[in-house]
Amino acid sequence: MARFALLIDVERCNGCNGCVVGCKNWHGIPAGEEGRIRLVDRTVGIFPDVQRWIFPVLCMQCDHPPCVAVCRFGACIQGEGGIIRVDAKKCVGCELCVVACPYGVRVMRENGVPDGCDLCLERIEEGKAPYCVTSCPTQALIFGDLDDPDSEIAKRIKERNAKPLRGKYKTRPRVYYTRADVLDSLYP
Amino acid sequence: MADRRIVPTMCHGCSYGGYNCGMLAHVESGRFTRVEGNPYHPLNEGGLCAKGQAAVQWVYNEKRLKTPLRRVGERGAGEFEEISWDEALKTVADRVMEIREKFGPETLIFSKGQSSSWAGIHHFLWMRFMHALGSITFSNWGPFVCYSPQLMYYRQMIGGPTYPRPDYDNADLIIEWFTGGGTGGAARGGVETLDTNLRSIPKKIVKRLETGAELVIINPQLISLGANGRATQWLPIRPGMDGALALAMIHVIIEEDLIDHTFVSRWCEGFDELKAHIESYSPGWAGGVTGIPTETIVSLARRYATTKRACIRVSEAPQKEDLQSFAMALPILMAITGHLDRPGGNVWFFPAGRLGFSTLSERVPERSKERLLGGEQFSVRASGKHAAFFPSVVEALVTGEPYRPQGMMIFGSNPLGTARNPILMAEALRQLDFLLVVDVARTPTTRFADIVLPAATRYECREQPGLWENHLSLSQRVIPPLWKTRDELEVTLELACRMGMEDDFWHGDYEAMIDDFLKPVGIRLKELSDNALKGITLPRTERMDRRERFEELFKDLPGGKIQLVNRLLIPEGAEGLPVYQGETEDPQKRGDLAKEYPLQFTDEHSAFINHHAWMRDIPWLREIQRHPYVKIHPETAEKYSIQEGDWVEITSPHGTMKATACLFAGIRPDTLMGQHGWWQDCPELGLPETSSLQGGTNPNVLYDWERRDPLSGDITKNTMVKIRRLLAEEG
Repeated sequence: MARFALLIDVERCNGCNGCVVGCKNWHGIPAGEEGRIRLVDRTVGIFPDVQRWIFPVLCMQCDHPPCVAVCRFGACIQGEGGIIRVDAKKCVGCELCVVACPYGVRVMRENGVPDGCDLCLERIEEGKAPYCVTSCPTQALIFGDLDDPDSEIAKRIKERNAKPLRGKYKTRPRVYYTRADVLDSLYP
Repeated sequence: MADRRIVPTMCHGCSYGGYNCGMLAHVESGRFTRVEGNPYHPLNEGGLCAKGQAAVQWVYNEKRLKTPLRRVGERGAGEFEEISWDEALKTVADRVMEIREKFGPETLIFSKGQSSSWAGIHHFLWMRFMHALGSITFSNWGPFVCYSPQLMYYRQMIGGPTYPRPDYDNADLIIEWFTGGGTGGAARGGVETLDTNLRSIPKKIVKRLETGAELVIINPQLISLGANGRATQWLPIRPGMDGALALAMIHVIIEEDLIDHTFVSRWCEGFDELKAHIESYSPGWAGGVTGIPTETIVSLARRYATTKRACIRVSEAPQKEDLQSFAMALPILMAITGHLDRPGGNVWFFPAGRLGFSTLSERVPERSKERLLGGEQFSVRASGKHAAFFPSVVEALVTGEPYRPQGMMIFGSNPLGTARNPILMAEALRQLDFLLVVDVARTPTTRFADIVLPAATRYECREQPGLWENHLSLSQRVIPPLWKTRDELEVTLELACRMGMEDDFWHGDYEAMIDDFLKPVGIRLKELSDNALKGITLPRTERMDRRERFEELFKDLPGGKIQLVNRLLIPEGAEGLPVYQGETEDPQKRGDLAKEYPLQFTDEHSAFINHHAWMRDIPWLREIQRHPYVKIHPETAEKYSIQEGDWVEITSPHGTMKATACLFAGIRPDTLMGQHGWWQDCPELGLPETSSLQGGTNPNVLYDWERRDPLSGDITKNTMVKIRRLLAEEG
């Protein structure tokens, strides 16, 4: 069985919001509603010795997902390839999963159903990468299967020593970041 | 099952040169539903920036103009009645011909913005249209502050058709000198892709950095390209002082004898004079002027001179009254270090072919040429007098000197939102006898029009080919024009025919026009349409890939050599060598003004989520940045009790504007940076329209229109300001 994952190569991210708007375009998420991806843009240090860090955050695709654990109705599901999704028919709109997510990346939609990135499940089923991955202007996002040691993502995670953010949560996310050491302290 | 189609086309998020990122437009049951990048397109390889991703909201925007309008109220009041296309076009044709007859064709002015692209088919058709009418008063705001003024100096100094572009692919040191770092078009990299092979600049740069190149950012703010550990050095220069830094770098390089002797002796003229001249521009002096430590200047100069493959990108931003010192020093810097037209340096890129048809320039009568507004301006003469000097057009309208233009046709431009001195601009538009504005949306400029025509977005228009490097691509119609909108090209053809010029305009046959446009590369529209998904790749020419083409590049320069001392400029009142003058409104120079206006102000050129004065009405983009903003260092903000998001008032000796405070630790504490182009409302997000004039949200009111670089006419965007937090009831 596959374990689908995402690597965010921060050194390639130019902070252009292409993924933020692209996700809304692809999934038809209206303006005014929170998107599935958002950008963090933080500048630290004292002028002129400053460092600026910009990176996208989204559902971290935990192997041990708190959202699934807290859902009493079986609406938050960890499905094929470990991808987290929501069964709207079973959801009662209690928002427990939104509160439970330590990364704060689960959003409530106006129809009362929580939402988050599902790595474009419908595209994966067609053999395609998530939309943000194919449309990133600087190719900062890499998608693949962690169980395949020859996959580009598996190799690059190792090579770049990429890690999930906030490893202390022990939820074992499958969204990896290069320079996670720096980003960890900037995570909002 | 709904009817689904995918139409290969080109993006219209930005528009440079008519060749844009490849896009696949999804259509379901006749509705344009979403977009994706075209993976076969060599420019973007499937990538799309935020502007491109929001295409659907650009098309189905309630703010669009939907029907032709005729003015009923006062000019500027914005009161109109709906009329038919037939009536609108008849009025335009009649009024234009009447003015031409009565006052002469030179009193007709044509103006366009970037929305319709530079050097693309629109450019050719509209030049031809004006030339056929007998006018060369083709004048636009953008070129007079952006790319062209610098280009004028480069061509005088080092020749070549464009300025030499950074060869990122092969560079070991990349210097981004006051650029947006790709904010103009995240997937393509902005204007640098015009007529060059620089595909997708940000991607090129980040990938080159991975394999060992180093990046230096020279900018009052730390741009995103320099973020994420990419910049090895950020030089937060005081805005407008770039000439001093460049001159001091030349000083160090000559003093330490780091020049490329072989290149200088074979291809340059005037080195000894340069050497004597540069002596006074020491790094110690420049340190004081630029705010950059002396040792940083020295080390950057050494690094640039001794890195064999080093390139500099100077983008659109150095808009200053002292452009001369900077735009002359930069090509000197590249030349004496041997970085011109060599791998990894600054090189000239040539496409495999060019598209276009005759613009009938031979039809322009002598009288029109003699009476060209701003014809005495050096930059206009140097470029062969093919367009009027925009500030002269504005001044002629206001003063009636040397004569008052009577009619103006504006296609896709909003000078009230983009041009310096919008107050004078409004005054100028009021003086016109007839004003036509064609645009996709209502703008502050349409308010002054006699006739407003609703343009279709590019996604609703017919085929438009574009060529880049050696690849031909086609923009195709995704859906038919919405409401009563129409394709600007078709409208222009019909207008020309109504004016009795059908013989020169293919008798209104659109396809015949496109075939003519494609003729130089020997391809017909039918063939390109059949290959719309992948486009057509022409064979590369030997010249495209050759470097060190010095003989050819410098052939038009005196003696076939680079002019380190430019004697051609001396009769024009210049020194022939770069002389540092600086900006007039600089707190260092104007101690008297600095008490009242202690901060420096400039604006950033472009952003990832909007384009010049348009696209603030697109909800997906606007929700990322809801309000006009000014970037301010947190320490400076604290001094004035300003917090993130507060509305502030910024006042210069020339005007006042409002913006929200964006606290940013990556900007000089003595500098504020705003952004031009803010006026539009976005009803979906409940955001109101704001004024482009005094007291509104337009930074252009803050600058001094008179402060220009004498030879190029470049107008400054540097001034001194004070800032205060607005109280809730004032906001």
